[in-house]
Amino acid sequence: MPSMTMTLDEIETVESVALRRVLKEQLEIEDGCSDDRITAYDAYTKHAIYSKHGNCLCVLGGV
Amino acid sequence: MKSFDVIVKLTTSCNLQCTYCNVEERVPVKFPLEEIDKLMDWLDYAVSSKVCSILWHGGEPLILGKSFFTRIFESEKRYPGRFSNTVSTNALLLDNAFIELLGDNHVTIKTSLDTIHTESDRNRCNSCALVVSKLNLLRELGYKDVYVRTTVSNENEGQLVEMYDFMKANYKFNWEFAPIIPAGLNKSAGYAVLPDPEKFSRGAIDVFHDWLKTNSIEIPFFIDLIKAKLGILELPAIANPRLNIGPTGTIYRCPLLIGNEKYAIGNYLETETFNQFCGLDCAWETISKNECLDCDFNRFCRITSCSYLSVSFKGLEGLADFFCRLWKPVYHEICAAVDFEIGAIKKI
Repeated sequence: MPSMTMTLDEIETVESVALRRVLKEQLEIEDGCSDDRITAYDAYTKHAIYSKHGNCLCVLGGV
Repeated sequence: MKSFDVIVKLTTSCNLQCTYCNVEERVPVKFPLEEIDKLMDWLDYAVSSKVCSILWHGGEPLILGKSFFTRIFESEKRYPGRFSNTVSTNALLLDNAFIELLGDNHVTIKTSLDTIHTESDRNRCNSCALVVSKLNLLRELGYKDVYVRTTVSNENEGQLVEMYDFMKANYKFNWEFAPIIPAGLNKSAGYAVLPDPEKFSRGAIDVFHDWLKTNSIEIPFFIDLIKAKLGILELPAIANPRLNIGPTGTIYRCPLLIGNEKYAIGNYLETETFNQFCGLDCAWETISKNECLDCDFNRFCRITSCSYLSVSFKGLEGLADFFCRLWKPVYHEICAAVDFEIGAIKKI
């Protein structure tokens, strides 16, 4: 997974709630010391599984 | 944990007759219950990834009944931790017992709600009120793993923000939206069913800005695009390799082409050789044009690399350009918003 180069302090200054959340989750994934690492990783994995379906157009058109 | 995706179309039968259904013909075919163990055995043997993620699809898969799904889950339990399940359903057959069965087996539910106005819901047989009642039931029972999709056509093209507000106000479910594709039984309707691209883009952008501010509902599509913009998620240029299995065991190059024998590539019942089905990209034919290669948003584009669209768009010239007009402003807005927010803090 590519790395993100923002610190938590920098992320906290991002105004948009959704963007801040994406950045924080990514930081947690990259931070092996985080207590939430497993949770974040599972969340990412689950999302990635969805993304694989979502990124193919099989789900477009109401299918 | 890597997973491999399998889509199994259990039946072509359905209790709705949606105009945009990708089923080419309504000839009822059903996956034989007695073959379920064989399918699971084969998947366990064939799929080398730790988890095999199965999307149970139709027609309407729940039409096969609780006993059919109970049998599926029993069969899967012979291989603990090997399979995860999603069911793509119109939700009409969900009741307490079915929901309990799906919940007990950690099944993700994917369903559709295009509008909350019955008069705008002709594409889905005016079923929206019933679907809403089912979503309410899922909410009451505390079912969390639900994805709701809104397909935007000429009927509901101006309702995207309203649908977003409705989902936000009532549920904690994941929500997605996308334009209708004239395909399957609806292909002959062609351009007549498409939404106005400007109305679609404007609605999507309005939704995006509110979502960005509030993060009030899960919209995985936006999260993907933000991650792609940040360089922390690579959107696949082509569809991920996976197995697309029809009710007769035939394997196809694309799930939406299940049933179209021209695109069949074999049958799992007739071979133990998995490799011939795996690793195939389905980009044997795409609608990508030369100018797409230079487009700033090419890496976000889910249109040009889709072979299904390439097949579906035959005889409907200009649809690639249409979808480009529809999505490009949305991609542009998302990228601009991320640049604006982050650019001031740190250049990524």
